[in-house]
Amino acid sequence: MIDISKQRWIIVAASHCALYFVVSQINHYMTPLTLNATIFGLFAGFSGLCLGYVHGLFSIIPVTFVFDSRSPLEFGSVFVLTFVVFSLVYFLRHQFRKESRSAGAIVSLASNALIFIGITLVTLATLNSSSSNLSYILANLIWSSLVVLILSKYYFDFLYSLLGFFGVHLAEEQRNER
Amino acid sequence: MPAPRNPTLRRRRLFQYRPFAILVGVLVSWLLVPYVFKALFKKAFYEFQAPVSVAASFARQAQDYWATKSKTKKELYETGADLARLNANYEIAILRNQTLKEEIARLERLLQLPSRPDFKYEIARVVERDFNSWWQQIEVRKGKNFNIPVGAPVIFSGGVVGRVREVGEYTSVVDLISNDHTRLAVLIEGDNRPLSFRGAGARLFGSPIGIAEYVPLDATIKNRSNLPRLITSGMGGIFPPGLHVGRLATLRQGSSGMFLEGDVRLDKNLTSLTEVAILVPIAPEES
Repeated sequence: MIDISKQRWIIVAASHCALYFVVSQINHYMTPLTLNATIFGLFAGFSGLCLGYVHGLFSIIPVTFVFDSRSPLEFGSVFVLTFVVFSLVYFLRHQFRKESRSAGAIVSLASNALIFIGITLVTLATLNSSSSNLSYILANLIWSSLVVLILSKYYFDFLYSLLGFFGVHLAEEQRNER
Repeated sequence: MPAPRNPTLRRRRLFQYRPFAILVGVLVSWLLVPYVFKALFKKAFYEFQAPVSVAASFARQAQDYWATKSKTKKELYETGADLARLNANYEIAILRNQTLKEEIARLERLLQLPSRPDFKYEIARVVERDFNSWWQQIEVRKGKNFNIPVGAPVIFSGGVVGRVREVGEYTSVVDLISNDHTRLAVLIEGDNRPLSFRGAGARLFGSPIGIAEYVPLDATIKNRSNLPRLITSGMGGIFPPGLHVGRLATLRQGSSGMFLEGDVRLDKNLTSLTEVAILVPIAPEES
């Protein structure tokens, strides 16, 4: 029998994958408007703020690998970028009030921007692309930030409740930790 | 800071450094893993997650089916009448094509020319469109199970879509021509001098775009309402000649000064594809 409180990353990883699937379906329907949202910052933000280091690392692996398996980049590029940003959030998380939703939103936004810029640079370097369409890239960064901003509150609340349902009370743990 | 003498404190301090050790360990191992293992792992993970997007595409198809079922008999009758008209037109086109094919075969025999590469059309449904900031690709619902080869050209009613980049068991990934790293040899219709085409992404709320390079200095855009059409040249042997690529919208001096370059407007429907045709090359003896 799996002890969910010890294997909480499974629930978080499954939720990350489910949200990624929903957003990729939205992106599919948004292609006629040429808008596309990238939300890896939300995953790095939640896992970095609310989970332990190893659990957080495990929780971001499946969702980033799904993206990596379809991208023309070298396998693991987006995982490495998300992992570095996740580590940054984890190392700095004592500076934030983790249970505050506004802190979660700000951290997710900043993480998302970092990952977005990282993927842009990796693409320019490895795919021999030209940066001729910077305005388009910038517009998608703004759109992605907007989506992360809208989703972050609901996603954090959802994950807190879901983990609570399985007997993992993050808010309580964070209070005890302090 | 002096090292603590208490072993518990020492262990706790070491434990603080564990995340750094994991971070460095993961980064180093990712750098050291040979490319072949990464490619294998990528393939395996792609096959593992493919059924999810395929299931979503089947759900979308069922949704369309039920939406059509809810239409009135009058609407269905009108659609049927439209389709009958289209079918009649297509039948005439098929007859004309047949006559032209026979004429080409006769001339090839007469001039003792080698026959041109022939293709089998595999119609595939689009599973997912991915138009992100960095690349544009679609995933289609046919793969090794339909003998789709890597590099096969993909077309639709509006012209060239792109090329197959990866082939899975039941799905394939197609790189669109709007991709920044896609290059193609093209011609301006009515002019047999080859140019180079490369994708340039898309305009926000607009259509996908490309750039035509090495355009001869005497090329002009005479009529703004009827922009010059770019078609595939057939060079390289991937795309058959004469397929529509896009329309040359602007011309300016190229960086070398010896050629012009210009923006190419691609078909707007590239962003909303639901079905495409993959051209599978067939051997001459098979055809």
